[in-house]
Amino acid sequence: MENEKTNAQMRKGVLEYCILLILKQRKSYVPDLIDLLKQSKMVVVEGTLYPLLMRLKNSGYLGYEWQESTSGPPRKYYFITPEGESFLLELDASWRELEETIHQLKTLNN
Amino acid sequence: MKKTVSINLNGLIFNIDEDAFQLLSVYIDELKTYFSKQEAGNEIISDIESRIAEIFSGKINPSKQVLNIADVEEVISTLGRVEEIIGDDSEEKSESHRSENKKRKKLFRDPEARILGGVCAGLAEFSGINILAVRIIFAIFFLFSAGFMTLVYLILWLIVPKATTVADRLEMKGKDINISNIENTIKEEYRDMKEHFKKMKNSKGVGESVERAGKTFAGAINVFFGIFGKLIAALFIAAGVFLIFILAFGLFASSSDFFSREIAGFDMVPLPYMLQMFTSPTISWMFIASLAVVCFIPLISLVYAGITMMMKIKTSRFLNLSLLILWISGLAMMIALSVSLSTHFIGSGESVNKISLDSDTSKRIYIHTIKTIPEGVSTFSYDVNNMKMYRVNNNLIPAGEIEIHLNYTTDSLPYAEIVKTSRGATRTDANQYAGNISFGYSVNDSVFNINDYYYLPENAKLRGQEVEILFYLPDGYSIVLDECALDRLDDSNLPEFDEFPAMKQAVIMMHREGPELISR
Repeated sequence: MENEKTNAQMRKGVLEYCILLILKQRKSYVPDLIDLLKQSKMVVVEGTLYPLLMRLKNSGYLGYEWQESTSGPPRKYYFITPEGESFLLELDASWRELEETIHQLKTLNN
Repeated sequence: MKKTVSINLNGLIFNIDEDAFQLLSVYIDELKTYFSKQEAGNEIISDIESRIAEIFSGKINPSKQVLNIADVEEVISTLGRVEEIIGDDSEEKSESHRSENKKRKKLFRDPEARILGGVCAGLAEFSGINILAVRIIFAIFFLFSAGFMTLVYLILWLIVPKATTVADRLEMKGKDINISNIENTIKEEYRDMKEHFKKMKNSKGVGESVERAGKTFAGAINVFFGIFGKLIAALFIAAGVFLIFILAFGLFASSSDFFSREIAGFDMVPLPYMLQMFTSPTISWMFIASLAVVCFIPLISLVYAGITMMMKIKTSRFLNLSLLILWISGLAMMIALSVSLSTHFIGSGESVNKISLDSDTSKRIYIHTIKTIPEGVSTFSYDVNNMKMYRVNNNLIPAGEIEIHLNYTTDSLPYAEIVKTSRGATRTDANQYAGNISFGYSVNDSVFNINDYYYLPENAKLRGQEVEILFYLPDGYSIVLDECALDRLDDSNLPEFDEFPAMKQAVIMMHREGPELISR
């Protein structure tokens, strides 16, 4: 149970980073976003993503627009805002730091 | 066959099985209660709903138009259970959601475990008492409370709601209505059904002995209730047959003159005779027929219910309905006939004869009653207007007791009025009835001879005919009444009469202030 929690928290922290990374390349429809994340095993259930996206949007890092769909009602496409891009740069930096630290710790052990 | 519900998700319409709908609506409700605590919660919900709509659209094709439980389950597993979303999403909120697992139970009728209305099953679930115990308690009360428990049961049946939905059943069992409980319940039901079919398919198998043991136990319970049900059924049949017999006796056996007098040993006017005294034979038989219908149909239904319970056959709706219709029309006919008969009593009429009376030197008048019914002839009292029937050569002749009133008059000489009254359809009709009453009397010096009864002509209908003799006596005149006349006397203004209940003869003197008993 505790292990699971730690895992989930770690994934959750990285999840926001991943979302911003994907959206930097192209604006996306949530299910597409989910497909990508599922392939990389970052997301277990879709439901988790909705509150997360909402939080990022409310922080001003993401925006969305409606696009007509060939089947059914219009879809919500999320894209990254300039603030989001600068936030992404911050995250990039901290990710590199983390990577280095982990790498150092691992090699130290060897 | 399944009921479907049509829902609107993000502007799209879907047809969805009822059970699947329940699962889905509980799921969305759970999401709502959770996300409503967050900012922009409504937006999250509408995003999720549109996603669900999208998944559903992918499920629908020309050969599959209705969403089922599997589709909803798939949606839930893709989007994630609320617990999973919470677990991933927040750190501290997960605990609060899991509290309050023990909810208060609500009383429902349990249709799954019912024998009649599921009242006992529901009470057992509510109270936590074994269902068998509840039923036995009810059964004992049924037998010893003289119908009171039946009423209690019927009222409970009416007011306690039936647990139709999965949510109802969870509430009945005191479980929280959340997605996992609902799913479990649905799965359980599905498994039960599957097992049931499996058992039907191959009753011989590996676990046969275990199964057989279980079956014997279940069988024993079944037999117990079988016997019990049969007992009630037998009771219904016995009671029904018994009452039918009693009623048939009351209605028809008593109608047979011979039976009531010679076998049962009591005298009463047979019902058809009685009715024919008022109306034509046709109408009286119609009345008897409708009365029979009204009385017998409930009893026949009772026996029928007993038989269907005994044989475990389903009651025929058609038969039930036709019995009901027959009963209602019987009742309607009875009411209609009664009303039409009562119209023959609307008008009132009378015929009055005035007779001058002679007196002897002491200003006395002697009333002498003549007995008109010979000794030994059987008479039947009849309760309308004290009519008596007496039998001559198997004919019943209606006879009525006269009534005597004493009044004061300022005239110098005494006289009497013989007043015959009757009711009828109209005033003329009533007058005619009154005029047809025959009453014999004669005046012989100071003796006034009167008959003890008045008679109606042969085949005359009863219309409340009455005969009164009003004596008008001046001050100082007295009247001598014999035993029979005293019996017919209206003594309401003669308080002394209470002290001497059985007088053979009485002399009553009239004063200005009223009559006085002067000797006996």
